[in-house]
Order: sequence, then C-alpha cells, then structure tokens
Amino acid sequence: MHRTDGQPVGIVVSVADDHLDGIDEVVAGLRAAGMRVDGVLDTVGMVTGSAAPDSLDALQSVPGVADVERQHHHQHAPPESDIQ
Amino acid sequence: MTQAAAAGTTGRYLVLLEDDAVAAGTRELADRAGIRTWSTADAGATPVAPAPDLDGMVLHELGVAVVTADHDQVRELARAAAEPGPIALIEPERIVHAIEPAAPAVAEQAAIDETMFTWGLQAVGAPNSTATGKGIRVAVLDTGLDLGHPDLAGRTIVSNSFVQGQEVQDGHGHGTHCVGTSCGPREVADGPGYGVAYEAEIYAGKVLSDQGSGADGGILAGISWAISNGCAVISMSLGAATRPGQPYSRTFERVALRALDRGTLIIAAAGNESSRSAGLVSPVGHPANCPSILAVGALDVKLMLADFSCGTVDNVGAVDVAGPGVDVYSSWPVPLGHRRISGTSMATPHVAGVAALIAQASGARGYELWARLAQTARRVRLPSTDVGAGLVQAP
Repeated sequence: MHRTDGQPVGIVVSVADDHLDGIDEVVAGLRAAGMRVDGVLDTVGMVTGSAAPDSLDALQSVPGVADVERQHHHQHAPPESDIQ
Repeated sequence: MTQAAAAGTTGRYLVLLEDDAVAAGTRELADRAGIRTWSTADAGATPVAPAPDLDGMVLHELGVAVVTADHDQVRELARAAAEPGPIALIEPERIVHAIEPAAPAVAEQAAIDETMFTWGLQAVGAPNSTATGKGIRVAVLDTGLDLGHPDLAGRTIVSNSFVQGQEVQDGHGHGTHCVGTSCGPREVADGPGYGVAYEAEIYAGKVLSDQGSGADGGILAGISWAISNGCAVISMSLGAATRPGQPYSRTFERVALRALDRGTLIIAAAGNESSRSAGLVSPVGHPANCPSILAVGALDVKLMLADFSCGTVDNVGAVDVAGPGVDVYSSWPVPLGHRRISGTSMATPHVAGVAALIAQASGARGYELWARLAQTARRVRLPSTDVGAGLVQAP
C-alpha cells in the first residue's frame, strides 16, 4: 500500500467503458493504491469511497480508471425555510 | 403610395442567375433586355454605390442581380428564365422590416382557482391528460418519504436508504414534498389534488439525511439503485452551488450517459442561488449542470421566472426546461400533512411527473423522452438561458 498523508476526502472513481466487465480488478487496484472503498456501483460503473488527497494521482493511474473526482456536498435549506 | 409599395415590393426585381453562369447571365441581361449592370466582382471587397446611369447591380458571390426594369424588360427576362440559359428566375424585390419584439401579453393571468388542482398541475396541463403514470417507475432521490402519509395509502412504494444510520422515513420533509408533486394523488380529502403521475410506482431513495445533507457517493448509489430497478425517471431536487466557469462533473455526466443508455432519464433542479431582483443570476448547480442531465428552472403562477432560479451564465450549465416552482402545495410529513413552499426543487418533480406521463403515453425512454419533453414544452416569453425549451406539458 502506498504511504499517504492528509485527512481522507470523499471521492468517486469512474471506471472506463472498456473495463466495466472487469470492475473487480479495478477495485482491487484502487484499494492497493490507497482508496478506502465504500461502494461498488456496477450499474453505473462507479466506485465510491475515500482517500488521502495526495493519493489521488496514484488512483487516477490505476488501469481502468477514467476519472477520479472529489465528492460534492449537498445541503437542503432547513425544513422551515420557504424556499427549498 | 405606389402600386409596388402597396404590394410590399420595391418596384425593382431580383434576377437569379444559374450557378457558375454569372458572367453569361450578366451579358444576357444586357443583350436581351438592355439592362446594364455593374458587378460587385468589379468593386472588390469595398461596397460602392452603383453609378446612377446603370440599371442595377450583380451580386457576384450570390449569383443574383438586382435591377430596375420596365414592363417589357420584365416580360423578356421572364421569357429568358423559362428557357434554358443563364437566367434562372425573376421575382419582385420585397420590402423587409426589422423584426420587432412581440407585444407583451395584454391581460395578466387571472388568479388560478386551486379548489380542484394546484396551479402547478393546471400549468402543466395534467388534469386534461388521460395519462396517469401507470406502469412507470419514478425514483425520487431526496430526504426519504413519510411512508405512513395517508395520501399515499394503497400506492406501490419501494424505498431504500443510502444514508448510513437513517431509515427511509423522512425526518426533514423535502423528500415527501417532492414525491407528492411527482407521484401524489389527484383527489385529496381536504385540499387540492397535487400529484402529476398519480398512478406511477414510487421509488423513494433516501440520499440526503434528515438534516438535508449528503454527498455524491450516496446520490450515485441511489441512481444506481433506480437504474437497476428499471426506473424510467429519476427526480433529483438536490444540488451543490457552482461558481461561474466551474466545469461540470465528468463523473455525473458519464453516469447520466450510462443511465440514458439504460432507458433512465435523470432530471435535476437548476438551483436556488439567484437573487434576480438584486441583479444576481447564479449558474446552474451540480449535478444539473451536466449536459446529459435535464436541468429544471422555476416559474411562478404568472409564468414569470422565480427570483431564485439559477440560469445559464457562461458555457457550462444549460437550463433545459422549466416547471411550476413558486407557492407549490404538496405533501409534508404528518402531523402537518401538507405545505406550500417554493424552489427549483418543487419545479423538478413537476417535470419528473410529466416525464412519467409521456413515458406511459408514448413508450419513450432515455433520449427520446428528453426530446419529447422539450419538443412539447410550452414556449414562454423568457430567455432560453433561464427556461430552456419552456414549460413542460402533459401529453
């Protein structure tokens, strides 16, 4: 496992079209490159989880990875708000 | 006023010359009708006024001559046009005008009677449609659903929570409101009917917590679940604000493309970050700003743009259609039961419901469903940067 620094951040990894049939191998590669995997979404070819910020380049270079993105945060207005 | 002006013509004529026969056509004008012209080819790039003693000009690049001709000359040129040769056609030159903006609608729309149906249902034409959403699965990814709400008794509801440690049961209210608008009832004991696709199968995915928050991972898990379950429509009244120029997420774009390939259309709220009365238009939020996710803006009862509705501000993030999103009455967790709120979050489930009706009526899925939504949308007098194709309409 690669040595990583910094607080882990939520990430989403897109699996390339030509690796969707071998998504398990891609996931194994991601784990070896330092990703903590929360979910493998076969249907859409995405792997969700977290990783240290300085490991993102290594994750991007795992075979079968199309994109590595940080997760966005979504926040609704409080229930009592008139505009939701 | 001359006879020509009365007919909307100038009294001059346009002579169309055959392709690659401009020089021959120019000679023919002189030989057959005695019409002497100058050519833009002679003038080079600089447009100059024709000499007053000439009868017209030849627009060399267009292969068109604009000429003054008397009755006999016109008849001769018409004869030439009918014969084989370099002159193809002659017709009167028309007077054209700048296209002026259309006059605004004269009368303001009267206040809408909501005794039977909410104004939103009426605005999208739902009460007049024979479609009900029956057989169509609609996923609403939000804060969950009040599973015990009396208005949904007897309905097919499949639910799942993607929020760790929280049940589907809606502890916020937002999700219950959105399910109500997209899939709720048309007949309610103590108020107007408010649900668009009132016989659709409800797939309530909790991807945001009871505190109204969540991250991409849970939302993607919800999308994956909805696609696996064959939902034709995914309604996502959620988003994260973006900055002008910020690129859209390639991840969500890829997911949306894969969803479309599987026959699932993702519909998302454009966002509420604008303050238009103060001159601020904020860009479409994430993930609605992805090209392959249908982004929804909000209109009010007068079909004017909601003050908060996000818009297209640069090359990223198009608003694709609009829906009713101001003073929207729908379900809310009991004991309150119902509530009236505003937001592009409320416009989105209106569009999702209409999408379900179209999917049922036409069999359209994916890209075709998107196309039908846009094609049949009612055009409104607002910029496409704010409302896209306009106000969606039930089939």
